[in-house]
This record gives sequence, C-alpha cells and structure tokens, in this order.
Amino acid sequence: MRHVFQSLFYILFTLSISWLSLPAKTVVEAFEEANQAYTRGDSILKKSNNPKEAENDFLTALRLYNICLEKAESPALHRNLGNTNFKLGKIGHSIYHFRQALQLSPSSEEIRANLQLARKTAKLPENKESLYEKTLEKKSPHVWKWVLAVTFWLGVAILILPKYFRIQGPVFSTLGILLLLLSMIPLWAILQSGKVRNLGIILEEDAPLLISPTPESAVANYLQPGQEVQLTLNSPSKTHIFANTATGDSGWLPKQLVGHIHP
Amino acid sequence: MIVKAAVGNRIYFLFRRYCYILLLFLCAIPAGLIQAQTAKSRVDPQIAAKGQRASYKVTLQGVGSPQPVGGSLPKVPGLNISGSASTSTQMQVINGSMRRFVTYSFPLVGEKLGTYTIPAWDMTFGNRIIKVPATTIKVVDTDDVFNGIFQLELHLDKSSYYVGERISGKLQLLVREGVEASLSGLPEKIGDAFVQKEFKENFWKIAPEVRDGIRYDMATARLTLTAIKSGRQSLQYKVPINVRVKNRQTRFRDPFFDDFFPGRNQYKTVTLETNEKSWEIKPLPSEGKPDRFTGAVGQFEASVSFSPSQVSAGEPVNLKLQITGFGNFDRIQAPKLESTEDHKVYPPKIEFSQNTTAPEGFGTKTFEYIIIPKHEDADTLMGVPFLFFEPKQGIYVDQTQRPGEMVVLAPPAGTQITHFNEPVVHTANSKAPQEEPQDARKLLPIETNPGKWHKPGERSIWTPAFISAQITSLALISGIFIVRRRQIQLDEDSQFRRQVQGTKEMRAWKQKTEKAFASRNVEDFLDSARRTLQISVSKELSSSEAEALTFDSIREHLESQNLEEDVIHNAQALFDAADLLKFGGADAAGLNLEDLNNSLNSVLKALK
Repeated sequence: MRHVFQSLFYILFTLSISWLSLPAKTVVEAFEEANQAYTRGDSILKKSNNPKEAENDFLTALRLYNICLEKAESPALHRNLGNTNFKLGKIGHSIYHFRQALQLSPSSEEIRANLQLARKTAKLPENKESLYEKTLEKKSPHVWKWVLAVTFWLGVAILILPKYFRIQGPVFSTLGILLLLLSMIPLWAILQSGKVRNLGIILEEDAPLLISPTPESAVANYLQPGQEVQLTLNSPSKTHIFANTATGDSGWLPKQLVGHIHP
Repeated sequence: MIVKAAVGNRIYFLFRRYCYILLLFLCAIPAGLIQAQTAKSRVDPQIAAKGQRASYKVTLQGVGSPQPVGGSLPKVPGLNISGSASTSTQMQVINGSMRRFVTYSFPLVGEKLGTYTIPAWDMTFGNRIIKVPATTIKVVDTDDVFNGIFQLELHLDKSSYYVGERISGKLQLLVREGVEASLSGLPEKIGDAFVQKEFKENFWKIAPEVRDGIRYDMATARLTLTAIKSGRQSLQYKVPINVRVKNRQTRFRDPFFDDFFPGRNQYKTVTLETNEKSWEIKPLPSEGKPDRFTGAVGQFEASVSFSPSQVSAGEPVNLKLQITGFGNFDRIQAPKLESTEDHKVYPPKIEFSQNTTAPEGFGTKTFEYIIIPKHEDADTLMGVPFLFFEPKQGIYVDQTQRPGEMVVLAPPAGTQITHFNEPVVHTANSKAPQEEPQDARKLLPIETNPGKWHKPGERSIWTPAFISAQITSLALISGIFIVRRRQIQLDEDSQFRRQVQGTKEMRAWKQKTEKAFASRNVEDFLDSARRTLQISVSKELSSSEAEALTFDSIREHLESQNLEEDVIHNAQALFDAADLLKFGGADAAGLNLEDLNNSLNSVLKALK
C-alpha cells in the first residue's frame, strides 16, 4: 500500500508540474504582473545599459501579456505588447500590436508616436497620411457610428415631422437636409475604417512571398517586418494566405509570419 | 625456488581473502544469535465474517530455526482458535544484519459477532519463554465485512470562520491494512462556498493508524481554504482511488490451483466522498469597516522602510512595505499609492516568503515601490495604507505606515527632468547608453491602466445596443408620424371622422348584440342588430344619421355596393323581425335567434 502511494506521488507530482504552470491568474492580475516585469526590465536596462540583463523581465512581461491576450484585449494591452516586443527587438510584432492598439484607440497620440518610432526603427518608409487619417481617423468608428445615427435620425425627423405639427417654412427642411448631408461624413469615416479589414503586418524578418501556397514554392520576394500587405482573407489554403504588397508584388505568405489587423 | 615462492605467495593471498570472508560470516552468526527475541501478533484479516476462517499469526524474531512451540493458547469466548499451527520463515537483511522471522499461524473462526481481544500470553519456544502481545479481531456479518474498508474524512480546525479568513484543515484517507489501493487523481472539492489553495507537491503524507484495534494506512492531505460566502456553508471532498480486486473468473475447479495460479488482478476506480458537513461562515462586520479596507484577513504586523535616504530629484527611491504574520496573504493587495505633484509612483514588485520554521500560513509579504521625487522639495514620502481584519478579536486594524522624510537634492547639472514616464532623461551632453538602441529611449512608456477589456477579435461596430437604438429611433419617428397624420386627418376630413366614429359605435352595438345573443334576449338582440346595421351603413353615407335610416335606404346602399341578393335578404329579415316584435306583437319565442345572428354576421361581413 505504502509503495503504491509513493509511486503514485511521483506520477502525480510529474503531472502536477504541468498543471501548476498553467495560468490561473485573472486578466487584470496578469496585466498588473506584466507591467511590473516590464518596469523592472526597463529599470535594469536604464541602470546597466545591457539589454541582455533585462531580457528575462521583458520575456516574462511578454508571456503574461500574451496570457491576457488569449482572454481579452484592450488598447493598453496592445500598446504594452508593442512596447515589450520593441524592447525585445521584435519590430514586426511591435508594429503589429501598435497598429492593433491604434485600431482600438485611434485618438491615442502616444500609440501613434510609438507606432511611428517602431516604423522608423524598422526603416519603413514614412506613411503619407491621407485626409481621412489626418482627420476622422482620430476618432473610433464606434464614435462615428453614433454620430451617424444621431445626425441621420435627427435629419429625418426634422425633415418629415414639422409639417405634421403644422410648422411651415423652409428652415426645418433646410436643416433636415443639412443634417442628412452631414451624416454622410461619419458614414464615410466608417467605410474608410473598414478598409483595414484586409490589412496584414509582416511579423518576422525576410518573410518569403511565395508563388504558390506550398513550403517548396519559389520565392517571389522577401518582405520585411512591419511591412503592410493587403490580405485575401478567403484564401483556400490552411497554411498560407494570399497577399498583395504596396509595391504591386503578390503571392502567398505563411500564416504565422503575418498578423491580421482586425477592423 | 622463485616459482615456489610465487605459488606460495598466491596461496597465502587466497587464504587471506577467504579468511576475511569466513571471519565476516562467523561474526554474522553471533550477531543473529544475540538479537532480541521478540514476538508480534495479528489476525489476518482484521475484520472477518462470522464463520469465516481467519489466521491468528504470531511472528517471532531472533529465535533461529522453527521449533515446536508450547504454552497455553488463550481461549476467547466467541472465537474458536485451533492449536495446530502452520509455520513459515522469512529472512531479512537490514543494515547488513540478517534477521530471521518465524511465523506460526493458528486457524481461527469467529463464532459470534463482536470485537475480540486475544490477550497476551507466554509462548514456550524450545526452553525459552516469549511474551506474545495482545491483538484484536472484529467479527461481523458477511454483509458488513467491507464496511469502513475505505474512509475519507474532512477535518477543519474550527467550527466557524469569517469570510476571507484562512482555514486550515486536513483530508484523511484511511485504507484498511492489507487492502491494495492507490490514488488515481487529485482530491476534488464539492461546493462553491470555499476556495482552496492548490496542493503542494507530495501533499499526501502516509502513516499507520489504529482505530478500535483495526489497523489502517492513513494518507493525510493538508488543506488551506478560504470561505467566500457567508451563512451556513457545506463542504465536501471526493477522492478517486484505484482498488485492486481479484478477477472472479476462476480457471480451475480446485481453489488450490486458483491460489497457486492466482490469475489476473484488476484495478477498479472507486470515488470516495466525505460526509456532508457544514460550517458557520460569518460576514465581515460592516460596522467599523474602514473605507480603505481591501480584504486582508489575519494577524499581521506591518513595517515600512526606504532607501536611499538621500537622492537627487528624478532619481528612484525604493519604498518597501513588509507585512509579517499569519493569514491569507493571497488576499493582501498592494496598497494603492497614487502619483502626486511631488512624487511619481510605479507599480510595486510583490514578493512572498513562507516562514519555514513556523506552521503553514505564517509568512512575509513585501511590496517594493519605486518612487521618484519630482523636485527637491518632495522630501516627505506619502503614507502607506495597510488595514486588515483580525478574526480572533473580530475587529479591523489600521496599520497605515508613515515612512518619514528623506533628503532630496536638486538634479545634477546636465540632467533634465522632462516627464515622469521615464525617470531621468539624459541630455545630449550626458553620457548616452552605448548598448541600448537610442530609439528605445524615445519609446513612450507602457500604459498601466488596462482600460476597458473586451473579447479578442470582437470589434464589430454593429453591436446589439446600436441596432436596438436604431430600431427604437425608427419606431419613434414612425409612431409620431402615424399618430400626427391621423390626428390631422380626423381634424380635416369629416367623412374620415364619421367613419372612425361610426366604426367605434358599430363595435359597441355589435358587442351589445353579442351580449343579448348570449343571454337569449331576442328583443335586445334585434334592437342592437338593427342599430349595428344602421351604423355600418350610415358611416359610409355623408348625409344620413344612423337612427333615421330605414331599410329602404339600407337596401339602396347594399345594392349600390353590388352585394348579393342573399345579403340583402338577410338584412331585410333582421329588420322585419325587429319590426314584427316591436310593433306587430309577435312572439319572441317563435323567432330563431341563431338564424338571425347568422344573418347579421353575413351582412356585416359583406359590408366589410
């Protein structure tokens, strides 16, 4: 009996190692611990000027942030993941997370600044901001959808209802039409924000753009981390995704080398 | 001569080697002989069914070879112990010394139910007398033999606790000696009123246990729990074990061969559960509860220290809060220190160390904050709040710590404090770090506030709330539009107003008709039916009042609508019947109310 118990302990112990290592933390706890690990790493980096010494802390932070990301996401989480990856030299992942953070919180100037810095570090060409990016992109599509709803329904109401309250004159009609026209602006903003639906970010260095979706395929070009590509999301391949680059190249990318920006 | 000498040397060395072995062997014999002669006794099985054959075993140690034994075997009423013993010997080498055990097995049968103690007795072994100790056997009914073979018990240290208080307990698994069983999984808690700390490695501790004379192998697992719900709360555990059972299918007719070729043993999984017990869980008192209390429960002592005591503005100071004591350290949250105009505070590094010399639950938790004074006047560090609930006395204790003052100097020349997301930013004149990329310095710091969480990938802007708001807006505007349009139409269109009012009146008269029909009141029915028909027609005519309409006017209208002759006939039948009853003195009993009702319905249907 005792021997049986003892042998069972060893088995249970071995099994429990894997169980104990499972993340049992809440998202908030993991986020908090990751922040602490990052701050420690940053502090060590500043004191010693040696990235190697801080690497363990940054890796701990990255692991904990990724635990959070499995369960939930927030602009702060993506921003911190961007920072951590940047500190670890993973520029592609860093740009990807900053881009995700910006998608969630377009008004954040800090995220925008970090994204620009990461893009600069990756030696990517400076983005020429479109009119939309300069103006309406600063607000989230969630804001614009409510602006659209309010202006549209207000316009409809002002255009239709006054005559049923025996209010005559061109003021309300003009105002109604004006509001309906104004509602086109948030509608345009929403349509523009949907353009990132197919946006992908190259995560690793020298990601091969393949001619066919097989590992043995010839390489059409090599893409660099942080580079933006347009993805064909309904690609038939399970391992590869079809992508078009800004320079006109197109081909298949291994899925693990590209991060898809969710609209 | 040389050859002779060589052979002689070899013989000498061989002789010397074997002499050592012989010497060791000769030494071992007296060591065995001088062992203390002791006896042990036991009954196998310890719990036997009435009439079942058991063995009363007396094991002698240090007696040498088996010999006939003598002495007066105890007589126990209710037990039939036979004097004809079988003998077996066993040798064991323990720590280099050889031990021989001789076991005498006396057949025993329990004749009556009960717990029996076979008393101590003197056994003669050769010319020696050896004291045999007492032992116990329990004789039970055949059905009860396996009762209590496994027992799972849950013990907590107190009968009542506070919510959040650390609870020490133990789970005890007793397996009757001789039963082969093994654990097949972790203990599983039943009930959601308690949370349990994960088991440590090798959490089961095994020790022999004797209860009511019955020997058990007892495995004990220490539990650390926390109650999370107040009230009377139950707690149970279940533990799966594998039990070795013999395959019942025998391959031989004679049980002797089955014993000799025992066949395959099977392991069956049995899940044991503790009895349902409940404990009183008291809520933390709301009276006297400080606002800043964050849930720590136990007995703690807090202390605070900081270093260095002299810094330049912009340089970090380590502020350490140390909490020592007993309780639920998991529930002690980092005291919230906010950044002020004087100091920038970074999230603390948290460490916990268990006190290895004290019982479980004692330890020290440390919160180490990095605090940066923003200017040279920021010499007073903020207070560090720490409050806890002391369950023994049932009171809240405030141990807020005041770190005291430090010396803050002006920042050194060449150092410029820009913002406090980064502690100190070196200017171009100061020495820049060589290995860290320059770009990394420009990276804006992490966000410490996680913000609003949502599920990964769920970013659709068409949320249910938004769609609901659109439907509501549409309904509201449409509703206002419809209501107002109808109101205007009622105001402006007399024909429409007449129709609306007529419809209302017609419905009222129709209801009266139905009521009269139900009460079999022919007179009321015909009167109401006539009015219903009059109103139905008059609401379509702009010039006539309903009451003034004669059947001729109604016929004219019905014909203008190109209705069938049957419909006009039915309408006439109703008018005629009404006139006959009212003015002709006809007998109501002579009229068929069902037919009249059908006529009315067919006319109204046709008019619709």
